[in-house]
Amino acid sequence: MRLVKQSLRLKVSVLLLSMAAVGCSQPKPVMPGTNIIPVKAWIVLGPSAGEQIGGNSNRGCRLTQAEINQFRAQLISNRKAFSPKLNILWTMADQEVIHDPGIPVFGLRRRDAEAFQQQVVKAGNWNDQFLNIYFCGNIEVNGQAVEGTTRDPGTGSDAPRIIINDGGGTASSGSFAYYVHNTLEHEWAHYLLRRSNVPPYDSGEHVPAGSQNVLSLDLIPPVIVPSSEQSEITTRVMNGTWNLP
Amino acid sequence: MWLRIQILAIMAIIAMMGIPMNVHAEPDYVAQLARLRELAQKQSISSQELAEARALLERIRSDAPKGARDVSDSLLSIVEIGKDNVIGPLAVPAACEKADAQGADRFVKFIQGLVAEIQRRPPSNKERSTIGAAAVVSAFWGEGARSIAGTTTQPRQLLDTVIEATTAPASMLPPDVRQKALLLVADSAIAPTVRKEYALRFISLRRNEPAPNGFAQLFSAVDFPKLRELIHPPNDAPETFSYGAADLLAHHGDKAALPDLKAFLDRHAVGKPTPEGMIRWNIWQIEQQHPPAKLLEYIRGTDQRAGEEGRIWAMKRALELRIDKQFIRDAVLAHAEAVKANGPTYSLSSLKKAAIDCRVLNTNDLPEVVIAQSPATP
Repeated sequence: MRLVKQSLRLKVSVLLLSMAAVGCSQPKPVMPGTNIIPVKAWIVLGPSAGEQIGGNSNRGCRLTQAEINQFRAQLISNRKAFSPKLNILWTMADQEVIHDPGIPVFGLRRRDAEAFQQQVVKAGNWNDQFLNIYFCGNIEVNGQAVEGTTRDPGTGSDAPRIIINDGGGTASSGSFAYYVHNTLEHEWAHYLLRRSNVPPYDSGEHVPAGSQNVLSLDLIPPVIVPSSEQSEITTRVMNGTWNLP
Repeated sequence: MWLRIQILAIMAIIAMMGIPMNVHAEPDYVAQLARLRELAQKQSISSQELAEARALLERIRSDAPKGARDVSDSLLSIVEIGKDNVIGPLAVPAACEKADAQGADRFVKFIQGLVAEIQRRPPSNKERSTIGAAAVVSAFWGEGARSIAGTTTQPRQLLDTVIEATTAPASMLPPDVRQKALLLVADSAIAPTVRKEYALRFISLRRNEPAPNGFAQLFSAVDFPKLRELIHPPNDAPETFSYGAADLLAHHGDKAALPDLKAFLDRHAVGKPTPEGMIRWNIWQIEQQHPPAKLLEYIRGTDQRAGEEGRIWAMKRALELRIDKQFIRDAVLAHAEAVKANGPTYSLSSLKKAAIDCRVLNTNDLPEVVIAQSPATP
């Protein structure tokens, strides 16, 4: 089993290197012909170099490493709900800690999603060989607090990605890991299910039939994804046609 | 002959029976409600049925009378029955909108029961029994709750439910839904004096949070002594300091709060990134209002200590203090020019959006600054 895993890792590495060598410029988190989605986690701390992972009053992410590991373990254990064929490659090596210079040190702990996209994600903190997941403090979408947010990969948008907030909101201290709401699975479902011929921000997107749970109005386990969407994900993953869904 | 007469008589009776039936024909919404009830009873819903339910709800919302007892009762029972499939949460806005006073009171009691149910069985529990409850509660705190606030005879019971749901552990409501619930305290059809009482209760219970959006407008100088007590903790215990009260006093520029804020900063906040940032922000807000012209100075400049967030606050506060709108507009445009001269303009997009919302700018101003159109979905 271990040998199989090592061999798989080796194949993945070779594939990644060869993809990098041919100069892939488009986001391609799925490896064509495999059933693997490689994930890279970015832990986004506040501007002060003194902030550490898990700091209870950080301006940036307050999640502990154990909580991030729990997000990862839960997503991997739920992966078959998205597609029986799906595998996720997310190792500790594929994690990077960065400091976001744009989080104001003065005032409420708030950061706009679009400004974050421009100032952090597109400023070199993004890798087109991975599905990039950012663990942040309190990123808001149009002034609204959210558990997580997804940038659409289906319409060829620039630097698609997933953001997960730490649940501390604007409060002076404390955090709440949203894995109990299946937030990462929820955002992952947005990422996997977007279609190029459907407006990505369709108002019905959060109440799809058959997926009462993972994309529905509530965010509570277990993860349910309709079989039609499962088969579509399988097709995409196996063909590696991620940007041409 | 006798037979013919009998037949004619029977036909006449049938016709007579038919007339009143035609006069009292059931309106379309009765059949629509019945169909919706059928869908709500199903274990699972197909895509076609979901589309049908949405269309039915749209027609019920446009055709059925508001406040009619049968419609109100019927929609509430559809929410109750359908809470474990997707129909219940979907029907919440219509049920709230059509409720009469008695229906609104029943709805408040129903939501209160669901909140208690979720508290008993928190979301980390994998039992499916609370899934519907959480979905209905989440769907309630938008336009539905606002309609109910205007109809219910029990506004305190509704606000008790807001406090219960928003001061519970963070697992209770998603943050966007929590914000919507608190807006019911900040601004709704319920009397301002009652809402202020609940706003005070919230900031007393959630001491490590800043004041939610809209709370500042409920308070005035007469409330300052009470708020000052909340930032002057007995025995200097930092856990009893209220960041919400500090926020409200700072928003209103209460100079008398400065000594307590500065003392708390020195003793308990320096070196802790978020508490320090929040208290420094509050001190800055007060100092920035004495004199109020300093607000314009900050808007116009390129000082980024408080970021665009600070600039937006300064603009809104200047409007509240009735500074001439033309001066504020000039300051925003001068700031935009200074930013444009120094590099990318994406930092201006939230300021431009807020300025348009406040009618300080119009949509034709700053055409080179793009306002993001929902770039990502929650």
